[in-house]
Amino acid sequence: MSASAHYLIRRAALSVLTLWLITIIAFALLRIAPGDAVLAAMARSPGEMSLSAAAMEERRADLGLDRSYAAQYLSWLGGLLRLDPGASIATGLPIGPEVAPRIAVTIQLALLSALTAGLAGTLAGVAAAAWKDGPFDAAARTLALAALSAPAFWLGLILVLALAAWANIFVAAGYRPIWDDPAANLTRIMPAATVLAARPAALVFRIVRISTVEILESDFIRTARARGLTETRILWGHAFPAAALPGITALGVQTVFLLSGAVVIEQVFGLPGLGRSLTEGVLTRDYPLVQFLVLLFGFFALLTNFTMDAVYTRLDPRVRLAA
Amino acid sequence: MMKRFVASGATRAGLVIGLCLVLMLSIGPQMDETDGRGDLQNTLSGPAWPHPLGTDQLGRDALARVARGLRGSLLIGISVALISGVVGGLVGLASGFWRGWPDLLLQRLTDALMALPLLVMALAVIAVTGPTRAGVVIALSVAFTPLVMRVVRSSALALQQAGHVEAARASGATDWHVIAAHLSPNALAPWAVVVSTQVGGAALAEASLSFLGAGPGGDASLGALLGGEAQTYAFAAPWLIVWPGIALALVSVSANLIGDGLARSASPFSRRN
Repeated sequence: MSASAHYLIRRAALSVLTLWLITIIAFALLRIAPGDAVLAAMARSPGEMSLSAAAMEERRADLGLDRSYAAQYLSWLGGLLRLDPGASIATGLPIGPEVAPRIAVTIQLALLSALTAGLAGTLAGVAAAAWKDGPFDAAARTLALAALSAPAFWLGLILVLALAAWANIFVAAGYRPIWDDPAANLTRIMPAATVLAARPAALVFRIVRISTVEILESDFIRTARARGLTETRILWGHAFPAAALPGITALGVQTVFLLSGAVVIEQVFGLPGLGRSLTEGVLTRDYPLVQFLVLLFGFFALLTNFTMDAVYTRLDPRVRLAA
Repeated sequence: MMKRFVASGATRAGLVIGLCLVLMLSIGPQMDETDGRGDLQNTLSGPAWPHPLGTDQLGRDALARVARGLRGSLLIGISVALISGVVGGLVGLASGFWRGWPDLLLQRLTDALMALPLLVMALAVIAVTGPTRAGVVIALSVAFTPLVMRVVRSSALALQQAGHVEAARASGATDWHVIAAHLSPNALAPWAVVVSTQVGGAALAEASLSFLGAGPGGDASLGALLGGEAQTYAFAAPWLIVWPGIALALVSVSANLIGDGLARSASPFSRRN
């Protein structure tokens, strides 16, 4: 077995272990809560306040809350393995069908942002390095500092207002799935993806710029110049491939941030994704829903980290294989 | 180190912005008496004297509200940075020094906590604590501690190999002496860098949480000013959205510049600028 395959198997095993720990964290966290799901449901709808002690016990038994924590955990875990995350206590409906269509929204948003950030950050970084200390470089660096400092959701709020006021586009309403109506879907999701991409793009830009500047001063570039290659050829044929790698690393580090940012960006742009479901679940104390969504976000974060690792071991022959 | 820290223009800019923000805090209490109630003759008016930043739907002065929100945001940012700094610092130091199975366990736990997106982790904790100010501080402290722990642990690990630590051990120093006299002072610089940056990070994260409704409302923080009511009036009075966001960005710029300055002056490798 090759060293890199060996490394990836180890990484995969570690990811599964981490995911299992996340199930324990998610389960335990929502059991420390004062009161339980039944009390929380009662607090939510005052009409049910009149539930008698006996009725409450019955409701607890229905939800399986009268069993030991270990038994509750194992039955939850068993349900997850059968792809059945249980039922919401706010609506009483099964969580699976409620959450499934939302996965596509969040994943599409995160992937589009990653793509936008990677492309914009890399291109601007190489260009800024080529025209180092020129007006483009100065403008791009200032923009990057602004993008790193301003909260993404605030940029989103401003964009939503600006689009509505000047272009009469109301992005926060009328989401359509991409397989339904690609044009309507993209006009809703692209502004959100762009805003979410601002911060990672700025970080990729900084890294790519500084590594391109360093590479342009190195020996193999001097050799290429001496051989009489055009500046464009040197920049894109020689410097760019070498500078893209640190850019990909920076983007990889940012993927978990994208999932975190998606939670709030979905709210700003009215996208029916996992993040909005999580927010609603937290505000209504819908513990089974929150528990499952925490796990789902953990799963996607681990999956992206693992994918970035796999891509990276392929791209960089120097990668250190000791985990 | 101190000299190099203040020598950089960027760091000085960070300190100046930070100082201006602190000065702005003194506006808040002063305006409480005059404009806390609101002026119903003068609702949603644009920036003009005597309300330099405009008024909201109840005629309350936007400047006073931004100042009060800023106070809340800074308070939460600093509390979170201190709590996660102290807890993460101590646990990281102990974990990196004694190693063994508790360290192994903590490392796997840190892996799991850090794998979760920040806001997801914080929201899950708020589901338990409720959307109060204390709840937000606890949630963000839980979310920010693992990073501090990682940073301090790795410097404690690296320092154990250092010559002066080995020399101290050879001359019979106790564990406590090594930790107090050799590890802590040397781990202080990376610790300070992370903690100072986290003030801005925590203020931003708190803003997101409050905007989502999972934080204290009213003018408890800059994020609270951006969510809820402000959304309803955003079209008629965009300044209600603009000012808190700018204040928030300044908090974050200031924390980042100071953090960068600390990082530069703490690193022996980057002496120039």
